[in-house]
Amino acid sequence: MTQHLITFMIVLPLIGALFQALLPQSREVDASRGGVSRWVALAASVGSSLFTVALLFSMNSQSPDLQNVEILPWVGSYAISYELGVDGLNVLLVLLVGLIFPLLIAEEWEQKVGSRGMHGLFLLLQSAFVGALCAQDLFLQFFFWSLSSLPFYFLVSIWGGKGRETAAFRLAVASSLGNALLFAALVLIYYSVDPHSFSIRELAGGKLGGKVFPLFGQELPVHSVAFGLICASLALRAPIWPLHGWFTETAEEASPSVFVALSAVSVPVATYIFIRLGYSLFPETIVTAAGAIVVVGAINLVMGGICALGQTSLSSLMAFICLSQVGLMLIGIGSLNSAGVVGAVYQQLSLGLGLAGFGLFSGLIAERTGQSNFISNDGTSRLGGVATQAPMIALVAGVVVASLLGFPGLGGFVSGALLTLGSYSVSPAVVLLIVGSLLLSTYYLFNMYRSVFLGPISAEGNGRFPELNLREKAYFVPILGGLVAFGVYPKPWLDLVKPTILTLLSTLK
Amino acid sequence: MREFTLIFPMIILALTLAMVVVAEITYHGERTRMVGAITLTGLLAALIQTLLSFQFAPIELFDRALSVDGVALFFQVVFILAAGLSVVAAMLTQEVPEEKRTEYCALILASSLAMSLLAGASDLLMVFLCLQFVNILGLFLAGSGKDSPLSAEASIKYLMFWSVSSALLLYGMSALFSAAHTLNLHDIQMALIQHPLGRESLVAIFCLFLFALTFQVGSFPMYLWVPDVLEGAPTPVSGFLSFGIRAAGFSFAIRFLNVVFAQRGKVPGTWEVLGPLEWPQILSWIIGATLLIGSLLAVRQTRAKRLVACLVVTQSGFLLMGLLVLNHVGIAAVFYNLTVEVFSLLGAFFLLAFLRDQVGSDRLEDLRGALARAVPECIYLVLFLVCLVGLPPMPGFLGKFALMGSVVQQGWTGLALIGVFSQILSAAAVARFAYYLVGDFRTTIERDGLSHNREGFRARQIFLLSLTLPLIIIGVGSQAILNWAGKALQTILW
Repeated sequence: MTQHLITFMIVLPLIGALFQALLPQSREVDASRGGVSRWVALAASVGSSLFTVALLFSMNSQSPDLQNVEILPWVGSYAISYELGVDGLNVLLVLLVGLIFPLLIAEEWEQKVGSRGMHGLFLLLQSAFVGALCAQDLFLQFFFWSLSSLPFYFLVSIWGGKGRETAAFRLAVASSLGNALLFAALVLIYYSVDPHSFSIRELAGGKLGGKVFPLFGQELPVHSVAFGLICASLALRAPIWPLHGWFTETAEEASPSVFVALSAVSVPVATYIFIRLGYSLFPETIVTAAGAIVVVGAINLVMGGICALGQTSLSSLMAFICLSQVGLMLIGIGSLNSAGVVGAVYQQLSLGLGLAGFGLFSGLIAERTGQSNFISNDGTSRLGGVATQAPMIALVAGVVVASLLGFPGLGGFVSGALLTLGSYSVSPAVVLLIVGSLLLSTYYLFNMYRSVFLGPISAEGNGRFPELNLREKAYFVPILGGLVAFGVYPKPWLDLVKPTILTLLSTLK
Repeated sequence: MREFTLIFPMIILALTLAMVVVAEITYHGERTRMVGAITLTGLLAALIQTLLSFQFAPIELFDRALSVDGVALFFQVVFILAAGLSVVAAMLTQEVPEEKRTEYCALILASSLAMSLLAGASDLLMVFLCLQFVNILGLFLAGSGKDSPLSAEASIKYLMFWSVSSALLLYGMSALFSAAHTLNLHDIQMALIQHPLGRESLVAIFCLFLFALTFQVGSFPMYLWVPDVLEGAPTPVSGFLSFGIRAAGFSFAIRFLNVVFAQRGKVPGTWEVLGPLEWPQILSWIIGATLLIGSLLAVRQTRAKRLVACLVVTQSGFLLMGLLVLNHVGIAAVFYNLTVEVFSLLGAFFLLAFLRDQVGSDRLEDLRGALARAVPECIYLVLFLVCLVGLPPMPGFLGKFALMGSVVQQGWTGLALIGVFSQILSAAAVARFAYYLVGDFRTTIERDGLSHNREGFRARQIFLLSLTLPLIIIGVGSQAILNWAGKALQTILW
């Protein structure tokens, strides 16, 4: 039982998704009778999360090694194995996946159109992300990682807004391009080592250094080409300025819950894959490329902040917050010191939770007022006064915004502080940049908060704004609880992360 | 007895064919259903018999005109599978009308018999006759939608391309015969080693052969018939032809290349018969062009059947990679891909036929929003296409990896890059198709609710499951399939 925790975490949502496909058709149109299928979906998702909790308790925080390892040969001819494991690098993200997906299903509890399809796709995403996080075999990781791109297409193209089809198409093209580049890197890596291998464990530690391959009569080094391909492929799955067009368009069109899955889970997972592959497979290349990574991160940070200033709708504001925070993470990854990298890993968790909270409350507002634009083009506030009518929503939003801004006592503070510390060793200028962008985000987030929650009740809003109901309260509890828990007492979580990061960093020098 | 066991599947096929023909000319009234059942029973019996006879291979029969070895038996399995699936597909859709179903079954049975014979043919005359047999039947099948002008046009186009390529092949074969004075492929190889031909004549013969091959597998430069024929023929026929004709081409090419031309010579980089001729270079250009043309055309198509047909051309390019490396890894990868393709390609064409029944057209514009009317079918269709193109999570992906890996291993990195690029384009084509299928799903649902076609729903779901389950099994048990392919290759006669 305990040896197969990760497999259970992957399989349970899949079974739930299968049930969504098999349960009788007629029930879903009538939401009041669609009970069985959505309870099954929630049970499968929560069940998987419970296994995550069990996994957390079984972790030994002293050890930097992979734990709960499962190895099963899959395709022997190509040395592909079903190899799973958790260590400090991915354990927090596994927790994040386990936290967020049940909430998304709860958020879409009363979905009228094809609720089974939507819940099934969320479940599929959940198992794909757990798989992509835990896989220790490049092929398996690629399998799950590209599996995760397919449901998004349907989630956006069916349950999105007016321009959903174009947005979904752009999303699909960007992610399939990203997958293809990753695949090319995979083939290159596999055939450059002898004996051929996909196992990250076996490929780690600079095995790829010094290998070359012929291309159109020229000899090219494997490690830098493969690293470049991996960077490009992940840049198409996580928003990197200037390749972020698909991301912001999806933000506009996708329903809030889907965009939470994309920005709060898919993006952190992409950065995780970057850390995992970059640090373990390309220890030499990443040292050379560290400067470039920091520069890209800094550009992302600043451009995300500046673009966020001009946003008038909550969802696109969220997209640019995500963009800017990914930049912060990249600075941490490129800093090559323990504070920066641990901060980046911790940031994945706190950013994920923060964005999930942001997405969910913006979804509530959009659902209740029928619009997500909080400022009209001439600068006047379109919403407003929500706090007087629904103080709970205002409180929740306040906590989430505070965490995104890195207020002490919340998750965002820990990661933000670590990242700033880590970046000092790169260059004090970067610290200034981070502080500057923090000021910028304080401005735009408070501006948003003021115009949505405070001030007079807008004439355009329909006047009445219902308070959180029980279901909505229930799905905000884990987010707020998580943000506070990870902010007030981060030690146990950081202890889980640190050994692995220190070992990885020690291989670099 | 051993000989009999090994050709017993073909005998079963021939007997079933005879029964179907007799049923057609004698019975009246409620006969079509019986014919379908007879055909399927015969095909199933032949399939089981083929699987059982793997252990008795290899053997040479009929004065060495037919060699039944691992490769022949493997191809026999996929041909029979394709025939069975396309018979079911025709029975579950309306494009082949009920009164023509007997005819259809007979043609499919005869085709599978012809293809099975071709897979084992190891004699110039036998190869040529079988190819003619396959292509004439293909011609009839393509033209079997008699009321549709498109079908007639498909048939004519097929006829033209086929006659040109068969004439050229015949020239090549007669040149080979006049040089070697024997018809048997193995003897030809021996003779050519003892009395080598001049470089010019070898190049000419090889190019003529290559030309016929590109027609048969639908690759550049003779790919033009593929979109036209697959679009014009009745959709279940398109499914059978798109797989059968090309797979027949590969079975003939694998034997021909391996036996006659491309045994590696003692000096590295040369070939026993062809000498230092750089034939892989020529083939690699063909593959690159096929991959690019197929996927570029697929992106721009406005009709669903044509779109899938262009993807089929791209697949031929990928499969030719296995012939380019021509070692056990490459050919095992071809086998793996063909096994995946039987289910995904026939499944995709079956669903296209189904959608055509519903909508009355296969234009992408008309298919807009089909998802709302047939949710499971459209999802299956997208999955089959994803599998065909070779994107994860479907097993087709492993097949593409195996093919591209085998060419990378031999240093054709550029070709693999073109392969990745064409996969991106194919993925975009599939995404575009899915985009049309989804259409205004939400508005339709909100307006009309979820409607779906009850008629034949259960049978269709069972058929689709029976296509999907093997795909899942192939994906999970990839190693078993690759082992099987490896075993088939061990008992090969060359």
